[in-house]
Amino acid sequence: MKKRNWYRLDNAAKIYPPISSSRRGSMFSLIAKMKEPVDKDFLNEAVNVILKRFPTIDVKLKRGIFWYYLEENTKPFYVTEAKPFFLKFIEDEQNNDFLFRVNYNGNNIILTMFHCLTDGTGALNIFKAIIYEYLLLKGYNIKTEGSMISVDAPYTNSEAIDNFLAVYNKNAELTLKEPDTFKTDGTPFEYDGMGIITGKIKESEIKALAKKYGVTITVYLSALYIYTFYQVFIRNKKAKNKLIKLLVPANMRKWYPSETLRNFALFVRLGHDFQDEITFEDLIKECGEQLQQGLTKENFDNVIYSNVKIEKSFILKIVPLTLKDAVMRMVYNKVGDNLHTANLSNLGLISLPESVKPYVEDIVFMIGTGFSCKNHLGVAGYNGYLNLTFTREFVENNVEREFFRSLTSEGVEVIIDSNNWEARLWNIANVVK
Amino acid sequence: MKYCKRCKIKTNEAQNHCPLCYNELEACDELDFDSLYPKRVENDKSQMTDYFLTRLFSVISISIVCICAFINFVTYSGSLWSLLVLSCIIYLWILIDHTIIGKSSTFEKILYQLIGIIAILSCTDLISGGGYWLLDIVVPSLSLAVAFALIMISLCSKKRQNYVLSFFLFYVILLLVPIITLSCHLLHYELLMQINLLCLILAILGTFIFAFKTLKTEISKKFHL
Repeated sequence: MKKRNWYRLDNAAKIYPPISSSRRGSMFSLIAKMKEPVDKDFLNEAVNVILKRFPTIDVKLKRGIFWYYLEENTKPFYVTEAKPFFLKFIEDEQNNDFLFRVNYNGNNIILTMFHCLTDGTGALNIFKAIIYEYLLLKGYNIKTEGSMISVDAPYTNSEAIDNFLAVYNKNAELTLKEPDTFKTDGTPFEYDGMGIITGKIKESEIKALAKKYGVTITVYLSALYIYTFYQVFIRNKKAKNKLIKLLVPANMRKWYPSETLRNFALFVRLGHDFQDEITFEDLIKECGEQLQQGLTKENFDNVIYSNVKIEKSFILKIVPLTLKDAVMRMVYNKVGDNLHTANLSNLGLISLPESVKPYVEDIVFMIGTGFSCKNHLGVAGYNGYLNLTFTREFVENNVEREFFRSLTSEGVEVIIDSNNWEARLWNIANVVK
Repeated sequence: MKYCKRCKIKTNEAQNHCPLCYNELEACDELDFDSLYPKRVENDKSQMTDYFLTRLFSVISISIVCICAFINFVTYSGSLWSLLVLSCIIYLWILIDHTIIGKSSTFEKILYQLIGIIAILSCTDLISGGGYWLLDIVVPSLSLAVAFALIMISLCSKKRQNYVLSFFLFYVILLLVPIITLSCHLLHYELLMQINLLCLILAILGTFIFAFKTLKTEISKKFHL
């Protein structure tokens, strides 16, 4: 099939260019901790091979008259050493116009992706391909074993399809507007950046804990996260708005089979209005029910219909991009991030080919924060462990502290890693060796 | 590794305090691990965003405009020369912030420059009491100069494919000027505008003949057809 050298943004991606800036990057990262130090030359070569295989990421963002679009990027790609400021917004000219970064740091390979290119699942497929190609170039005897996209397999246009338009159902119903939620806040950091704390826990322990309450790991973690927000920010404090909601992305490929590597995820909001007190056990039950009601094809059809209907509206189509940018930014600032307190994104258990596993020690997933939504939690499972990575826009880490203490009080072993962003630079030597 | 008694968590050896509660840690007999996150260093200026120069030039610009407006007001004798100062300052901002430093496309930069220069000259024309030099000589000369520059870039630049649509749109917009001024008989001296008209028609024809396919692709990209 002939490869196009330009792509329209998919329905979900259209919002990201107008709303993204250094204050709200719309970025997420995947980190692979390898068993030996990363060789930057092999990594660079691996990424350049991957770019030929996945043309949907070998692009730059361009402005059209009415919409943004992605065009083939002919500049070379270079991997760089990771800087302390993770998940920093990608400035085009610093990155040869590419919308993703690949960094290395010691034994770690870091892929940072702008959300307008793809979602977590799409990024994970690309990340696996990068790791695989990197190990192959290093001379290791590895095979894909059918558990990942092979570089040798030809690119097909199905990887670039906007599946939202493909599954758009004109007979669905519009979704109702949701109420505004409680927003977290705290002392800003001295310097640009975000606080990152990763907690590593055994998958079997958290599974047992979730099973005790008769729910899935996602429901348990969501309920615990919501309850932690309540304990830290609302209980025994004055708060006008006590509605706490979590945005939980759901991979649509499970309901609508697709090979697309573009965005194809929708969201379910779980939460509780703490104007009415609730116990943790009841909250877990409530979250379980909300997730079950949210994860239905009928609900997704309605959400897709609402989103695509807006895109297809004649007025929106003819409004010039400059005006559209300003309006979308204004609307998103007022409505978008106000509908949830935080984001919990669970990539699930990440599987690598058996021949590749001996070279990869761990995988971590994290989501960038912004001024309008200051807390996120990224979850990724690998090799019998779950990595829970909290990101925050302010100094106070009460949420992370209470969350992990709740887990340790239930007998779960937790290993913590932190970027210590709250430490004063003049004092950094006292905080970490 | 190290262990925090209060939080009951483990962390790596490099941490001097618990990353959650900042209390002291005690040693524990487990294999250590390297942190995922690079250590921050003091005086890492790349971590700070700085808009000092922008703010400095804003203050200087506003001060100059206010001082000139005040002097013009106090010594007013029929001429609003401070408007010329204002237009020059605005043009300087466009030149430095948009054309030189800015990340906009070539099309936008040339368009803004053209608008900026015509705005300054219109302001001068207004303050000096009006005349025919702006529409008769300056506008067609500028238009010819821009068209000539675009044709040269199209011929010499290796990235000419990227500029096809924006240059074509430029020719079309510039073409409106001679069409309107000549058909409405707004000029005293028409020759220069007529030469301008011919030049632009030839530029448009040239674009169609040599770059029709590229133009078609670019139109479908930009207009999402």
